[in-house]
Amino acid sequence: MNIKLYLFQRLYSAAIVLIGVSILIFIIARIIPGDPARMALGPTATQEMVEQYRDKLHLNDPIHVQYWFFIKGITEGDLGESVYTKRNVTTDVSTYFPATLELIIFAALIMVCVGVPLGILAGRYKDKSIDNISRLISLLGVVTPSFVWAVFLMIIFAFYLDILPVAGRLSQDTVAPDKITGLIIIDSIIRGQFDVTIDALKHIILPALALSLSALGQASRLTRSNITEVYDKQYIEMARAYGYNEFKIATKYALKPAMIPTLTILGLDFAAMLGNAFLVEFVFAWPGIAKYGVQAILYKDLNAITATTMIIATFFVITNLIVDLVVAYLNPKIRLSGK
Amino acid sequence: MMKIFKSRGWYKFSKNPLSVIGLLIVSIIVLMAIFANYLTPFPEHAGPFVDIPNKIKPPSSTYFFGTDKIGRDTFSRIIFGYRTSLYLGVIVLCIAVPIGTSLGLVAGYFGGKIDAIIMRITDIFLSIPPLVLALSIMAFLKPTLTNAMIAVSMMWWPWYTRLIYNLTRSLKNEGFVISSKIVGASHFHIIFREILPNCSASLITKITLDMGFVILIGSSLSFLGLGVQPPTPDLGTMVSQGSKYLPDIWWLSVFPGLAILVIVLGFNLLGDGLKDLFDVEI
Amino acid sequence: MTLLSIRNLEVQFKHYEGVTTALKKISLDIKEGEKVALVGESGSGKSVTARMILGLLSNSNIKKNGEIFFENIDLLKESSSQIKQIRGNKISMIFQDPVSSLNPYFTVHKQMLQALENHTKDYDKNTIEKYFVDLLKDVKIEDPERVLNSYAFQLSGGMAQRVMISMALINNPKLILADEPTTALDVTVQKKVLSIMKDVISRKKMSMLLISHNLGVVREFADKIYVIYQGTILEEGSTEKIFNSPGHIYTQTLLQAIPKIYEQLINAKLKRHQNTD
Ligand SMILES: Nc1ncnc2c1ncn2[C@@H]1O[C@H](COP(=O)(O)OP(=O)(O)O)[C@@H](O)[C@H]1O
Ligand SMILES: [Mg+2]
Repeated sequence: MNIKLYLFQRLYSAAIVLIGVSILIFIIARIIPGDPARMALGPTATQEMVEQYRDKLHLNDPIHVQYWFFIKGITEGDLGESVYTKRNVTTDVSTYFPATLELIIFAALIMVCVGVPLGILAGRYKDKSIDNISRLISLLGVVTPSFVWAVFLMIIFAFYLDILPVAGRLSQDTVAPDKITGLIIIDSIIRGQFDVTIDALKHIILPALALSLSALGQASRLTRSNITEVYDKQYIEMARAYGYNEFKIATKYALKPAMIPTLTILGLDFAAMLGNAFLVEFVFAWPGIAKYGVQAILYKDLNAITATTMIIATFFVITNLIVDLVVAYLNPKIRLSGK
Repeated sequence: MMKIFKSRGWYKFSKNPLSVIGLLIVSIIVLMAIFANYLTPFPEHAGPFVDIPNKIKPPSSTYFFGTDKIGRDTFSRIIFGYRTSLYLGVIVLCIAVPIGTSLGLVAGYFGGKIDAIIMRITDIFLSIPPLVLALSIMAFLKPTLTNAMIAVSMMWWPWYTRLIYNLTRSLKNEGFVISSKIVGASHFHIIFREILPNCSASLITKITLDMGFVILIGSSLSFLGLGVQPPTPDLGTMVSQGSKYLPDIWWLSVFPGLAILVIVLGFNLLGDGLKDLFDVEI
Repeated sequence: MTLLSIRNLEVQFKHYEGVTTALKKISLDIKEGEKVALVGESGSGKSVTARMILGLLSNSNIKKNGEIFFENIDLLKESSSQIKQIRGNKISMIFQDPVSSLNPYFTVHKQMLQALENHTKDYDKNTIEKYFVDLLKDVKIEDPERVLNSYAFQLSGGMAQRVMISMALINNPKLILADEPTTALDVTVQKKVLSIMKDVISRKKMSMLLISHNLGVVREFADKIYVIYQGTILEEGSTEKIFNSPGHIYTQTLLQAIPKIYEQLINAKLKRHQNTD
């Protein structure tokens, strides 16, 4: 297959998925019984207010017109006003999303920096104790919901050992640095406020750990199976026959073939963390999009819910697209195909 | 059926202590949940029961896992919570498996346009993180057990569509399917008498594994307050409410949390054992 | 002068059901500049022999006895770091399946450079490209620049095997082990690759151990032949002697099998063509 065709196909199917997701969310929001306007305004609102609100949400128009307004809103970045915060949901989302992004990036760093080396070691020392440890971590990671991890970690590190803070992004008396990226750790480094960086790091460790634990085990098992598969390949024996040392094989010659397929799954895991972020942010009172989303759900905040879901789905699809493109670039078989 | 116990798979299953542990965990929990009224020390604590003199008691020989703010026994409530979890798991899979399986069979068997449409829709469902999809469905529904079941089923069927789709596509070209086609068997006969029975080992294994994961997602929903509502005992709700009283009344969240871990672990180990037993890939 | 001398080499593999003896006290000599063939049917222990020389079989469930002298040092007693100095340097190896022996994620150039750098960091960076190009020209590759920048999956089997041959030559080894170098190739290119290999090795005055299951293949190639059967050397002698007056009944059956083996190869190839059509 030609590389251009491949790129086109990936873009095309990403677009289809996004359109599909928008229809899906639109349908879910419309077919479900109950009047969103009535739900949003509460039982005390007069019928007149409800009607007015229905007009504002275009709920009185035919369904395809509603969808048109919905899509128009998405493309213009205007997803309407939140009933609860009374602000444009786009503004809300851009306020809350960086906190979540920071959390999942940090969790992904833990997943990659711990999970991948653990998987490599487990693959190299198959059926030895390191392999069993990685298997145990993976099993526990898979079967334990991240909110249970969150509670356990909180009890151990925040209460029992009392070495890490319980909640939030920063301590009460710490002032957040002026916003550049919205990621406090990065902003504080750029502005040279290193005491803020340290405070932020202390706050992010536990939620990030809770979030990463389920993905971490998966990452290490996957790396392990890819590593063992590669080590069975003829070119590894060939490398040994040509005097490569084991370190070079492990860190380069076998690593590249093993990691490229792993990357795809790591990308999926990274994006899926957005789902579990809901649970972890809840426990650690992390002021992110998930907390905003749950609030929106509790207040039946139609626009906010739609915006949150759309943002998450878009993030998910785009992450996968980027990973696919990176893999295509790194894998010569795909990159050079059709030449 | 007897054949299974003589097979190499059964040998592997029974020789692997983890599979046997999984079977034990699942059997014990299921039995306890069914006979919870007789097996728990305080069955009446499952509902809106109040016993102020015995409130906030730490774990003891009377109250194995302590009592909550209004004096209810955590242990009894966990067992009844298992009942809720299993109920949710069974209903969700009873909805999701038939839907997912029939779509997968149709798409895989007939191919062409219908295949493209079904699989594209499946892809769309699969491209939203599962919990987020369930949450956005719950967003428009009242938080009740029934609605939680609907929401989780909505996100679960695509996995079965994909599994059965792949199996059907490869089975379609097997000799026995082709020969019954030549003999003139109807599509209905081929799909339900030839292909489906050959998917059953994979289906049973996946259902077992998924029982655990459905329970996990269900507890996540109720943890966020979007699933089962009090006073119905539910493990996720218990962790969520208990975590408000950390660290002093730690038993209120730690034991229900462990309880979720144990049941999901049980189904997971059992499912892995079944993979060996039937020698299937999921 | 004897370059390589295997004395009473015994190799056993331990596994669940017991022990397999792959080599039963075999002895084998290769002189400097000599081309020796080791011939026997599949499973007779040929690959084990080659791998033992380079120390490629070294895990806990293997038991080995005897000596492998190379330039008067016993390879079986060398430390792993010293063996590493010899691998790809004084002794190099050509594997059976060239395409899967090259790493699909690195270019030919990168892998040749690495094979060199494993043994010397001290080379002239400006002329190295030309050195590789010359090596590839030695094995009759007409567009060496393109091949250098290719990945294994972009090369045909015959081309990849020629790349492997030039990679084996990089550090000017004394001895080249070739384990069924043409078995994985199409019958049509087998002969060509063999003659290219013979030419370049003769020209560079290297020694060689050619492993094959096919006596016909080694006829025009080897000075001396060892016949191996179930881990035992049944017969050894000059190529002429083996072909003209085979001493062992097994060798005679191998000789009779020559046309048959070719027939089978050709039939198999025809079938493959029919299937792909
Ligand atoms: N790594 C290994 N572990 C166990 N047995 C092996 C191993 N390598 C080879 N053997 C056994 O040693 C015998 C000789 O194998 P080999 O040298 O590969 O044969 P061939 O002559 O076809 O190259 C065979 O019976 C094979 O099963
Ligand atoms: Mg061999």
